[in-house]
Amino acid sequence: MSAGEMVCTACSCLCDDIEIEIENGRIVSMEKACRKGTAFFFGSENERLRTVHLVDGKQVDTDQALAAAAGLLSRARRPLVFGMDNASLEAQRQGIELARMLGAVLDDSSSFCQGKLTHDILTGTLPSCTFDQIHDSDLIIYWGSNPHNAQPRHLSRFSLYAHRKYHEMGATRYVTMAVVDVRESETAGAGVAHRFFRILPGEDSNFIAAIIEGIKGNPVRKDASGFLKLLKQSRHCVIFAGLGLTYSLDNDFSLFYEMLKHLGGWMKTFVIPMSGHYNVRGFNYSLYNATGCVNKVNFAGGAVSHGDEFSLLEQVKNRAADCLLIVGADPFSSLPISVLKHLDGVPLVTLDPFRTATTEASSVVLGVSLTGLESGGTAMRMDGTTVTLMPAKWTDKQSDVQILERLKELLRP
Amino acid sequence: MAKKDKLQPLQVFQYLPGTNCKKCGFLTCFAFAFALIGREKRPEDCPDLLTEQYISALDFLNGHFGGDFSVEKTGLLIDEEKCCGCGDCVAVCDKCQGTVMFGSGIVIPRNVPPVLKIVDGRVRVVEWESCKRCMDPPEYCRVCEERCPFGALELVR
Repeated sequence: MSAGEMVCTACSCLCDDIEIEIENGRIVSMEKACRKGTAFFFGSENERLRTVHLVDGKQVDTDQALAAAAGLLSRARRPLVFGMDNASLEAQRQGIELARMLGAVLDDSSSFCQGKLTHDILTGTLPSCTFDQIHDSDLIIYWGSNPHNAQPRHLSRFSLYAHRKYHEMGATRYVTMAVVDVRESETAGAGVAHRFFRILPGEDSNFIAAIIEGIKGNPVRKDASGFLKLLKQSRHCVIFAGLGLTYSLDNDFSLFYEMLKHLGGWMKTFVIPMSGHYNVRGFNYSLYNATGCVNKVNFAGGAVSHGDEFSLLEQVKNRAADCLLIVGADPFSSLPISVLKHLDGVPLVTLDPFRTATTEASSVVLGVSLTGLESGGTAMRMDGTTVTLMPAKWTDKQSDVQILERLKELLRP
Repeated sequence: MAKKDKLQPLQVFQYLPGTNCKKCGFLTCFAFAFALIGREKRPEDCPDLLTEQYISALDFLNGHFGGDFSVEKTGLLIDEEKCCGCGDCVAVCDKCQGTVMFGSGIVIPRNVPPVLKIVDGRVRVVEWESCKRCMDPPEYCRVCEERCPFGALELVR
């Protein structure tokens, strides 16, 4: 039996204190990991859920699968590389180089998630901080996010309960947690959040506009004045912006930034986007370093171009792509059927450790090891901190870095 | 358990026959209601509830107090279906601090073994003797129950 610490790659918290016990190559127990992480790693033990190398539904060896994938990609005139949110930073670098070599369009799920916020953080227009700097704050706001479902250990390990000034029995409250959401989620419920501001779906822009009016001294709606009162008592605030905020504002954060600018008069405000997949922030960072854009990039003709037309949704809807390379992503589960029907007849090459709806629809499936448990690397947490992943278990499967490297060698002109 | 879902003794009493027949071993039906909430007795232990007249009351009480359960020595009843292993209860428990490494790596080492631990994605009581409720004199601490966002923890005693 071997016991050791590992990093959980089930969500973007990347908890690095998980204690794992392995006996005869199987996980016996996991301590400190949440239910999401436990299910993720115990699920990897089930061979029926894991992928093998497949070409048109038939099991083949690695060389044959790689040759088939290289054949499809080299024949494609407008290939599209999608995903890499569930891959290590090393694999992402390989993937970006591969996309550049193919002259492909490159996109990931951040184009319809938190890409805009991450872009503004990386360009320096939006102030952000790491989890360690949360200790200086006196107000934590979860806006449009429910970490108890998406990132279960967020509160207990990184934000409220991990706060240096938080004391359960303290007479004075030094840190306040507020939630802005459309429904009373677990995080917003009594016992967890100190203040809860319930707004109607799609009403975030009105709410923000009311706060700005309140700062200017105009009379505003009751909940906005309560929120403003909370902000005025604070000197250092961290806002965890969830997908609820992003989708409600429809990726137009101008009003939100105007509010932050007004708040800058008396307080520091930092924004951390609540990412879903464990290395979305890492992909945005890697691609930003390589091209200056965080997603939706076209490498056609050797130049780098960026635009909304290069997002997966637009590419698929316009039937622009004639071959898709999907790395560690499952668009068939997350995208609507009205978009997916345009993928009919388009060959898919998928790299995934697990069987998903996408691997079932793929022409070529390349089964890879599970990063974090079976292979190592580095990944970037949602706050931009780099975390080293160490493999805890041996496997005969190749990692996504090795597969992408070999694919790159095969496709090299 | 969320406060709105938690049954109070008077609410339970309204589903009982109210005859104070003493067949359950308690002097009054109200005492039996307390015993039900404390999971010391089961609804079937009341002979009158098994008659046809109280069949709906028995169904209701079985929904709340029936099924397989084991109450920990601290009086904690853990609903494993509801627990998501977020570790909020571990983080707020005075006796568990030092077992969780917070974001900046701050660990306050304690000699007291922790009461709660997240094992295989669910909370477990690992050292009941450390709990404030089991000390001499006991302390009326309900922080783990109050902070559980899913209502997975219920202190029944």
